[in-house]
Amino acid sequence: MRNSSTNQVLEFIKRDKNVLAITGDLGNEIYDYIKIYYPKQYIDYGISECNMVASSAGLARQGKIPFIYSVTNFMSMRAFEFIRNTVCPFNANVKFLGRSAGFASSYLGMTHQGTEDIALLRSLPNMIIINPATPIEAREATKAIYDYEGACYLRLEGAGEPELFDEQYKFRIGKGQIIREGSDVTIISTGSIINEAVKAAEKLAEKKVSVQLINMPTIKPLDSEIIIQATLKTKNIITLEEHSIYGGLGSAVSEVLAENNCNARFERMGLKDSFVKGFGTREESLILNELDKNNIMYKIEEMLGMRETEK
Amino acid sequence: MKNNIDFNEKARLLRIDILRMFFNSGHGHLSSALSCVEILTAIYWKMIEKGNLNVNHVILSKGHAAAALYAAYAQLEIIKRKTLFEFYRKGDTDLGGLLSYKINGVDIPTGSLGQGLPFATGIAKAMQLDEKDEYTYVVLGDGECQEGSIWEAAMFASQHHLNHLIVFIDKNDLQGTEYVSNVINMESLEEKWKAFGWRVESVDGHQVHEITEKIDKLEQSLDNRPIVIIANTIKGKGIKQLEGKNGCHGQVPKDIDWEDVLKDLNMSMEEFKNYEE
Repeated sequence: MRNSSTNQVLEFIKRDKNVLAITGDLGNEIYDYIKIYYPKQYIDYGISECNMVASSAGLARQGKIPFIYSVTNFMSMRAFEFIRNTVCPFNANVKFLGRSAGFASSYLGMTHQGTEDIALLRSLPNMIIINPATPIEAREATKAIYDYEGACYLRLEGAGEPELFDEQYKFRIGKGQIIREGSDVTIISTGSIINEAVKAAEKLAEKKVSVQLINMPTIKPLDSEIIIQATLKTKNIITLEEHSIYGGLGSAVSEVLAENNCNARFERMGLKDSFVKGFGTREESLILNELDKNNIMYKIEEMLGMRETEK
Repeated sequence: MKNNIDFNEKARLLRIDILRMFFNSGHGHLSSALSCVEILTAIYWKMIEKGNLNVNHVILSKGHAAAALYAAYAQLEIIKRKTLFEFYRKGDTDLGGLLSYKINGVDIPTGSLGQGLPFATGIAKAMQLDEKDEYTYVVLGDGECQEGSIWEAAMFASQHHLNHLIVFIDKNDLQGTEYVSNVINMESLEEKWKAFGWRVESVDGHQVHEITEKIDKLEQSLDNRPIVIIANTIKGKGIKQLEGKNGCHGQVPKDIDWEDVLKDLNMSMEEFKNYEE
């Protein structure tokens, strides 16, 4: 999904001279192309993320539209206070494309795995947070953040995420969508991990368990209405994310449930007070961290009383 | 218009306004503000002399000196003078003790050190991309140069030949708790900035004409390097209990002899107390 987003940045670069591709010594095929063919719209800040972020805020204040592409941790965590003080007060028109979010860099280890980024950025005034699930969604979200004037964080994962949508897919900031109707349990998922939920839902259908699936790309502002409706319909809610359960989608959904007196059983699936365990392919990483389709099925069966609660 | 500006008089008025603010508040970073009065006077009124005042292009990175910027804004009629006396008051005032972003012309809040210069590199870079012949001015503290992000920005500015970026270091030799040299010694600042590819000059930071002449000289002889002017200053300048004293940061002593302080500024206590609009 990262290239479908940066490809869209290239399209903006071609038609809007104020759009700048910003990076900090990071390889990306599309940005490398921009560097060669549109050098006046490309800035490499080197390995200096705090300066990169604050300087981009300065560029934005002069009417530029910086699209910063960085490993999300180096940007959202190392440069957090620079985002807070130089970008957020005036809602500067800076676009953060954070790669290696979630388990995408599963061979590299915890320094490169962004698993607390949402928790941090969600606390910042004016910051829009979007975690696309697929390449098409990432592309459409990139268009949406260009059209929106203000600070946006696009939580990009890695490469090769499966596609769930067709070319007609319309993305709207702040809107979730039901991608599978169901009546027993609702999974609210953000990011490409939704593919595991799709597989789990299909398997469970064979056991006559009806799973509703909500894709929740925008985490801030959160689509409260779709959550409230889900609790009325299924009474069982599970959140799913490649992120800590503290401060991420799970926390955001729980706030909606609590504040609206929703009567539902609720479970959060994500990292439980830990960093990503183990190394391996992304699939292996999901299994090691108990977030693959089998663990999702298990959790649902447990919730519906189809298993002993002790695992 | 040219040469009609009495820079010394502007600096004197700024000092009086700053003193009046702290006379009222009894709290705040008085000594930080008093050390950069002439630097700010030179920057703003030099821009006026050149006919292109753009306060958005002046970044006070050492946000603790906010009072000096507010006072300058009052003199420049960007804010009303009477709002100066809201400084450090409780309630719905826009004038924070550190630099507030609620004031027109202030593009980022500062006070968290090491953020103003990185921000300013973006302003300067944008103007370079747009081929504008306009300058960006930054005021840093010498203690502030302990922040790593200052040097990230310094490397970037020199790599990108941001020669319209002019940084003043308000070198008063004191930081929050101690003499800079006793905490993390920054000497030689000059050699450090040179090594980072900057053109380095120094001035007496309380001689406003020396500063304006330096600005003129440098702007008329640009090469491809960004510029840093080390301004040697005295923290708390004008108040004997504070001047250059260890521990003067954030202090407004109860026993200031205001009449004595005002004597140097040719103002009586009576005038000072009634000094508003």
